Amino acid sequence: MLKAVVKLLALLFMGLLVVACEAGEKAPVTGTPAAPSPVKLKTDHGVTDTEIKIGSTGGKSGGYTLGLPFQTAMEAYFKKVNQEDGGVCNRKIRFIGEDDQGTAALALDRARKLVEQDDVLALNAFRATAVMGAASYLNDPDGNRDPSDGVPYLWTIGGSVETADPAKWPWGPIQLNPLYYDFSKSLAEVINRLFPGAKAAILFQNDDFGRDSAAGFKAGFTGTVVAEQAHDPNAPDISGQLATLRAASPDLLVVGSSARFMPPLYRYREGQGWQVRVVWLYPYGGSAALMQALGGTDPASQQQALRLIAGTITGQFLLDPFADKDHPAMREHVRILNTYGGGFRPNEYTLAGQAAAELYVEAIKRACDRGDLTRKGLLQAAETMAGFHPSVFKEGVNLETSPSRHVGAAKAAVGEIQPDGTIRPLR
Amino acid sequence: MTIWVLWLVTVLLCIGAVLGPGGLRWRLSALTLALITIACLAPFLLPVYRVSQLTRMWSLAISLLGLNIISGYGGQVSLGQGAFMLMGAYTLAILTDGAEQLGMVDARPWPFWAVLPVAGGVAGAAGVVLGVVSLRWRGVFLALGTFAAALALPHVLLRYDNFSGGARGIRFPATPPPEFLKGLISQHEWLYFLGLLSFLVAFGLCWNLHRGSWGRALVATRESELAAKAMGVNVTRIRVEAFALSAGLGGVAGVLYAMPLRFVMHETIEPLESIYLFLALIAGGLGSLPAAIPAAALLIYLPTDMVQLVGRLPGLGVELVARAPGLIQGVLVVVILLLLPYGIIPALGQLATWRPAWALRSWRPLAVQWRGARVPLWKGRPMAPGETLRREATDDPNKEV
Repeated sequence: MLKAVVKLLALLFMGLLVVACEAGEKAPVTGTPAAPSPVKLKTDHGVTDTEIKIGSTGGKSGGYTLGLPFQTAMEAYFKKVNQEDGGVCNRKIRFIGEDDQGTAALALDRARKLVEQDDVLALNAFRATAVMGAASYLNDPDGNRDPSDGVPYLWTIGGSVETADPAKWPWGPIQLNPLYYDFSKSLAEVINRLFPGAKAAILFQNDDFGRDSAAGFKAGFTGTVVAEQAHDPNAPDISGQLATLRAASPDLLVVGSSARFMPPLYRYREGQGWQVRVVWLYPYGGSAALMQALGGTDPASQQQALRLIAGTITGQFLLDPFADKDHPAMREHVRILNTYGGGFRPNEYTLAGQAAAELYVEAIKRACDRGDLTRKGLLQAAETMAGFHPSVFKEGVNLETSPSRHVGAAKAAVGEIQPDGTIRPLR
Repeated sequence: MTIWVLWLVTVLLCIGAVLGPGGLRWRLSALTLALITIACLAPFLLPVYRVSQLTRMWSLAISLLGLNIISGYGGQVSLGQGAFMLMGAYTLAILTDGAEQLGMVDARPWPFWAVLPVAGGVAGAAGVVLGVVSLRWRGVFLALGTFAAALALPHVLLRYDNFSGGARGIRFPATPPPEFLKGLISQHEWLYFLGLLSFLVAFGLCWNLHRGSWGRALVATRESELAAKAMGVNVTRIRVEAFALSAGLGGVAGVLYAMPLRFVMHETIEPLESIYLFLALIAGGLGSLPAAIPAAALLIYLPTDMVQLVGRLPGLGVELVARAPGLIQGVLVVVILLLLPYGIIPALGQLATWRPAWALRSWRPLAVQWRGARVPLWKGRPMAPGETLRREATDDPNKEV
């Protein structure tokens, strides 16, 4: 009997320990508390007199970790705004980044946690399938089919062309990047001018991104598509598809695949002595993304990578961490990461994170000026941001979000990678 | 915080039922009544997010009941349960989205009560096919064969996008509570109670089956197919039936899993989820029907709350949690399997005679553990509270007797 009592007490103690751990501290808001706004704002969720809560879900662990640089940069920029600019709307921004391990199921769970437990004002997500996994819920969190209550789903990475229709998805997702379809179509129009009547072979990954990219390119391309091959997004090898495309003797190899498939592609092209120009339909592409994918930081590896990627035609809406390293906005981005982001190495996704954070700050400012920092008010403010230029966007690329069209950057700057890694603009 | 208090009360009630006075039947009845009461009160005491987690837990528990039929009682390692759940989820989406993927069949949205049996039937039919195909497979070959089904299904869904929505998935409207409940309970409470009720029905069904002649025949095929045949059991038929029942419950679970999401895509239930289901069932207790509840709870809390709780322990820090939650999940599962080699529910049954020294000794290498075990891990039978293993008489779980 005594042993039974001892066991019960031990279990009770363990339970209390768990409860105590659960009641642990919340993440502190950086910077000194701002003075409360003198004007009484209309607010509903995620906004107090001293702070504004913004959330994000993304893969920070597991097999898909590109959400880590994105969230790190978002948080770093918010810290910079809190510390150096005194916050926004007289309030500090508290950023809550959740790890969804790159899966749609966990993305939804984390989004629910951000909305129902943390009560954030708005949130975003990283990766197309994860974005879509939570989109239905965020457009109707109560499940009461009332389109007037939702959670702003702003500046996400990835998503399909259908989500740009506010009639179907009134609360987002509003993508940060150009719609893959539009991006590829605009790139095809530049290709038409540069290579009239060219023969193109298309390689794409069999998911939202790849299919939309291939469809957009075909819609804008006036030359001949001589072959098409799809591959699995997790395919270990694409040499079979490349061999089929090569057999069609194209002038252009148009690729709608993510960065991890580019090294085997370039190596195949070099190994086979295949003289074909690569066109990469990836809005986050560029010299830095390709060089990172090809690996190696020593000069010899970089030279080899540059030799492989030279001549590639690509489009970008963000600055390129390699080609634009001397751009003032790029230097500021590096400073923010070094000061507030633990020295995280800049890449295309840290730039995307900062761009998303800049857009949040601007949307909050506009909503604040209108006296309405509710979820609805923030969404309406975001819909007025057409023409806004985040500092890390390419010159000439602006936001195109409007009440009738939920898109982020509508176009991209098309260029050709040079042997030294710089990008020559093409028009 | 309320959620952990409720879980603590639940665990203490279970321990009390094992150690408490009175007859076994009385204690089990009181425990069941108390747990159902807690389950019914939970949605009114907890915040919405915690209720949504529990709703998902009930759906996973139904799937685990099905998996227990084929793996726990049938002795077949099935790693395709996630695929059957995905089939159920897609059945719900296709039949309720209002679009015509199947012509006139789904031109008008179906009511949820009609979708549940249809989804169970669709998944059950797929289970029959898999059961027939896998008749010649044993052990690791069966595991790989069923996992291949889980791996293939998302690709099939991506390929036939006119039917499945492809990578964009299918969005479908919420399932509102019936008219007589409108105004009484909210949407999330309704989905919670639907999941709870479905679980109780599925549990009752499985309980009756496993205690009847069918269940005994199934267990006989697990212990020895030859002996079962000699006793007149139609091994082929019972294995296919077990596959069908297991898959059917998976399909129903998929419907309940997808209902709160109002959206389904090929990644809604990933192939790896099938392996997680099996691992969770081992941790909960293979061959024990109530094991579905702690196993489902592990699936819900392990990747989220438990990892964060571990990260708050002194010396570990949030950095480890941020970079390697999978490592913590894996370590937690290994710790559970080392300390409770038969699973959580069988360990509860052993609690009355448990000695702390056993836990320390159980940190020996797993091979020693398994060699010393009387019953292979995947063939453990359910233990009644108070029942002891033969080896316990020696006061040493690893000593040969």
